[in-house]
Amino acid sequence: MENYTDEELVETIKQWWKANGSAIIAGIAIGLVVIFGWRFWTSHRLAQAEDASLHYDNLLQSLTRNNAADALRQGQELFDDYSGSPYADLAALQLAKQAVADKKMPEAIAQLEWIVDHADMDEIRDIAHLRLARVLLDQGRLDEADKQLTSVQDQSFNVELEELRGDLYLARKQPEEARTAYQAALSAGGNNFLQLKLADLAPPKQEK
Amino acid sequence: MLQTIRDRASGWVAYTIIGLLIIPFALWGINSYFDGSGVLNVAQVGDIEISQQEFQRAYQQQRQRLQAMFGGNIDPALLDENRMKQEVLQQLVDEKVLLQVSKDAGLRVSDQYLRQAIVGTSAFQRDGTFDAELYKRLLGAQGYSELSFEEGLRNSLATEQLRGGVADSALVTAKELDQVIGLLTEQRNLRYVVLPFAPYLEKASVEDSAIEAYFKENQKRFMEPERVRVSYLDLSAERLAESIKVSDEDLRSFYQEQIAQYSLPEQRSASHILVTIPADHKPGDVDKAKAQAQEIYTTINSGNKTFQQALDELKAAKPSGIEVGDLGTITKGMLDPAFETALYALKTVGDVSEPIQTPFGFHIIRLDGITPEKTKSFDEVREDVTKQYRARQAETRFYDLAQTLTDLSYEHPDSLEPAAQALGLKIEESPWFNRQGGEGVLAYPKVVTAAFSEDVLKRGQNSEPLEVEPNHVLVIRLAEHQDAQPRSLDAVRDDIVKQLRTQQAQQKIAETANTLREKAIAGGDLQALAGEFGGELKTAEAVTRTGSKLDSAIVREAFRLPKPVDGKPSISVATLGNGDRSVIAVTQAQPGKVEDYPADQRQALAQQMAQQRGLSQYESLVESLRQRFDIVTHGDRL
Repeated sequence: MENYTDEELVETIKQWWKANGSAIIAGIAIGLVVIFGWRFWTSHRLAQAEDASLHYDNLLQSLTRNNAADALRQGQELFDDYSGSPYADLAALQLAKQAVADKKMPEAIAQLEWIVDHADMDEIRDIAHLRLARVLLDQGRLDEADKQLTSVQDQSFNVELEELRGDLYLARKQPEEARTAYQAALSAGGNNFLQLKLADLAPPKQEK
Repeated sequence: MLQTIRDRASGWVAYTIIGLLIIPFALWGINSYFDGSGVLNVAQVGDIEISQQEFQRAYQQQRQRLQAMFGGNIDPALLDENRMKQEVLQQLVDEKVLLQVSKDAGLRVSDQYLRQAIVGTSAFQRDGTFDAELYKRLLGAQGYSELSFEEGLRNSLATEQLRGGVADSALVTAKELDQVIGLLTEQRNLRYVVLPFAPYLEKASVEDSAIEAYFKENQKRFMEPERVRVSYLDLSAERLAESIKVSDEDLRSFYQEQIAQYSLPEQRSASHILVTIPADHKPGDVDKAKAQAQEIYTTINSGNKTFQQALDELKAAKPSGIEVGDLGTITKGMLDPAFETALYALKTVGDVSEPIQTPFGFHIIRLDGITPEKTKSFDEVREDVTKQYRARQAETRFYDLAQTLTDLSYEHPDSLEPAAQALGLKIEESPWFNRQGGEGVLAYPKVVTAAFSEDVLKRGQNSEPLEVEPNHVLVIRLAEHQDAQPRSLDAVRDDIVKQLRTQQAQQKIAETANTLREKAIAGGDLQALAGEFGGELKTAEAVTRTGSKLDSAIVREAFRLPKPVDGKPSISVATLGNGDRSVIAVTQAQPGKVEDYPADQRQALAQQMAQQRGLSQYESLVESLRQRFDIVTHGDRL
């Protein structure tokens, strides 16, 4: 090590500070901004989520009170201000159900399409595809329903997917394909109503 | 020497030593970073761990829920520990998956919602309102801090919102509902031949050689199970009671102590006139009732009417808001305290009280009679006193003796003798029994389990004290053991014959039914075929899925069959509950009339379908979410 006198040492430190001081201050400042920015961002996100949740809860209460207009208003607020929140998607699911119950099919379709366009969670989008297919099938828009079914990504939804395929084939008067689809649904888990639908089909050709 | 080491400990020597030291530190130190504080996890879901403690808590809660649901009569299958543990673990894993997904996606309930949920929980309420004290106490008892409980609840409320949002919003369209109703109410016409099983069973015959062959092949099924005899000491307060000696003096002082038991307290009978306060009363109602009662009381008190006259008049007029009547005999503690105090304040029979307020309203009470306190004499209840005295004494002795039994049977694990001598008990011997148990003390499952336990059966030691009932303890040890043994052919011959005959008859009738079915499919006339194969042809029109009088196996098969096409019947075979076979031909199917289906049932069906569909979609969602995480479970640590 070289030997410095005290004065030389002070001088060296000053020199060094001149060269690097602003960089260090900037570094500390950036660090503080990042820390506080992050904390602000997380608490803001939590607050946003809580607000969205409150709107959703209000919407549910409006639906139980049969106040459809108020429910729609709450839903619209969610779609406008919290479009990234899953609560907006859940709200659209609830509103779509209400619309189907009120026989307002175009509205139900619009709600479900909103989810398809906006949902962050793939699973919710898949559910929206399935329900959309169900409504379109009811409206006789078979090709569009078909398109929705091909958009479903996750294999976890196979029971419902295959049942809908079967229903679609049946609507297109293709009972053989419908049977195959229903049987696929049954082997994926099935439900009580699949057996009913299967028994109603004409016997398979090879057994005749 | 140290100086030499210091001198040498530089350069390559030092580096080599340090290098060598690094190796063990690196290898043996490192695992502590992964094991954390040594707490074992039962599962890991992504970054979240499920500790054994958390699992145990969830498991205990589940057990308590089941116990509360079924009381004492729990189905043992439900308490299959391993299965239950797996289920609880699966639930916890799903919870963690949903928790992380909810957090990432931005699902979080507000403080207001959380508060409502807590305040609205009935467990935290006293008399219908939230009780903060009770809330804190219950959380403490469950081992939660307020903060951790509220965080946990907040999370589960958020995931519940996700569940509800998906599962409760499933769609069922009207067209689809029509289709299902059409299928559910479909009517089918059937012709069916029933082939009775009994003649086949009668005709079946079994050769001796077949019996022997079957016996040899299935030897394992014809084993006399493993069995044991045990010696045991039986200590119970009930038996001790018989040996307790009693003196007249002891009994008398016991009688004095327990005199309250042998006394009947004073009883009073009364009538009342009640001006009621309605349950949903408005502010003015209480004052109005009070004034009305006061008015009635004034008429009686001033001597204008007697209580009896007032009561009779009101009884006849039946004005609303007033009830009158004889209340009969009243013991203390039966009625509202305010009422009771007033009644017992009345001195002589016939006295009438001022209006007294109770939650029901305002009562004017008349004392109708007094039955004074009565005490049974010692001689009257001597027998009962003796019995109770003995039981009490026996219980005290039982605790001492049970302790001695525990100590001695544990100190001398190879013999019951020391304990038997110390307690003055006889060593008793059980008859032979297997794992099914038997009569007497063998009816206690604890005894049977202990008899076949490792300690008793394999090591030949005393069992631990088995508390089979309150105040009843047994210690057992093995007397004799016999391994499972094959039974002789003669002992099981009848069983085998029965079994083989049934098998043969079933095979024959199945063959016949199948031939009949094939001929019918080929176009044979069912009437003729029925005659040929010894069956009977029946027809049934407009059979529905439910509510039919036909055998349920026939209906099930008839609706499992595809619809007949072009007048060609669908044909199949069903096995009935009693073994009979039926060849069924569905000749016609008419769809049900959707418009005749009752509206409320339609509503219920729509709900059921939507519920099922929603739940299935939600389960699919959870299944899909699970795949987003690395999930490791340790079934061996449960």
